[in-house]
Amino acid sequence: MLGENAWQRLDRAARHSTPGVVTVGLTLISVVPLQLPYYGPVAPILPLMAVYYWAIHRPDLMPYTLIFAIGLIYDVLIHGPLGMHSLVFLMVHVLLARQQRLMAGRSFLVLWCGFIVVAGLVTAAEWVLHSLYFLSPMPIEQSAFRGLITAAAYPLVGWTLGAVQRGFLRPTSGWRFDGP
Amino acid sequence: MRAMAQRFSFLVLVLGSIGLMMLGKVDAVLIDGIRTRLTDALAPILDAAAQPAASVSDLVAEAEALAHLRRENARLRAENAALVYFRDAAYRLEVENEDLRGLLNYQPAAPHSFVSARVVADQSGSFVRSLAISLGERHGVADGQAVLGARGLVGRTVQTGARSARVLLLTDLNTRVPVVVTPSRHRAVLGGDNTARPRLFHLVADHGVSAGDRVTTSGHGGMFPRGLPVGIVESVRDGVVRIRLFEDLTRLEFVRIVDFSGFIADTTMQTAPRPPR
Repeated sequence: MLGENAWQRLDRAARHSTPGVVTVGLTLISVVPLQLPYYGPVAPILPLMAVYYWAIHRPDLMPYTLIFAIGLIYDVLIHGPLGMHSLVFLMVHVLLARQQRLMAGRSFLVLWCGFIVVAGLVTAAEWVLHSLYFLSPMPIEQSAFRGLITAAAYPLVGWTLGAVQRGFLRPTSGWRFDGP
Repeated sequence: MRAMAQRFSFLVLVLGSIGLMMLGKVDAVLIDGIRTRLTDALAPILDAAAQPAASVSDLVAEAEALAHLRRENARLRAENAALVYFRDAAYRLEVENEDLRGLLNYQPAAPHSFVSARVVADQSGSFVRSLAISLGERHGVADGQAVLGARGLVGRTVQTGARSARVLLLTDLNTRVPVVVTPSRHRAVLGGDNTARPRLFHLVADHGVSAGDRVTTSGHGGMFPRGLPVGIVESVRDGVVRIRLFEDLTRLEFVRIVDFSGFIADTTMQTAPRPPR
């Protein structure tokens, strides 16, 4: 029989793994065939929303290796060049975690505006990296549309992630980001 | 000290990402192997996730069908009348065909085998058009097999793993399929350009192809057998011929993976030029 202390530790470990589990889940969900016309090519980048959300609210629970792995899984699933989204997600995480003090505790609208900027930057980076990878400029309309859909889908996913955080994790005070 | 370690691991992972991308460029075979193995590992999870999504879309389709029941019924009656006519024509042609084959001493094509698979992931990002299916080498799937939906050709298998495979769709930028346009019997190459309507390339200059013509595989190149239904010519504009596929690639739930290898060997043998006597 485990002691109370061990139970508490187990409980905390389980709670602290929530951001990672939820992000991996969103990564898998993002390629589930919804059988909607024209959906596939412009499907929102769901893992980006989770990476963004947790970078602002609990960057301590998103180790770099996990973010790297999530990017890799996403690249495998959408059949992009391996490593591209690992790079993109790592950059997003670090940039936001540095601005963490600026962003945490802001209203939902501010966070959404922040995400719109991030989604724009990420789709632009995707386009540039793809063009470099294939050594020819890629069609730009679909990237732009994907960025728009991703930005538009944030409120729903962001709200869900908020509910997850309130349900599983304690308030964000009492720790400090000391990454790079 | 901890901050140092963090910074170091960040740097390593960023360099690792860039290294992976460069490796993918240099050694595509190795990276595709890794990719296939990872997809294999994720296939059971994706399969489980695809099922509730499929039931939701079934429900939506059900509601849609109920709303249009009366109109659908009228359409089906009209279609049925047309089909009865074509069935009679088909019977007549079959008898005639039998007779002619008898006259020519024709050897019928080898039978083909197929398996049905669930579509578990839609891998269509901005720059590729492909699907993942939940069957692989263990179930007899191999690279280059034809993938068909209920109405027509969907694409072909590429990168087959033990229990998953990737289907390159007809709409993908890298797809090239030799086809023939009926009734003019002009040969062409169908090529995707990542839009929903693939194009015909390498048609002769004054081809006379017009909207409504049927496009089927020609069997050249040995990838697919002759006569698989592909689509209908939708528009001919400024020399660009666009095809509306018979199969709606955005709504695929199950596909058939057909092994035509015996069939193709057989037909290529038949169409190979005979040595002069």
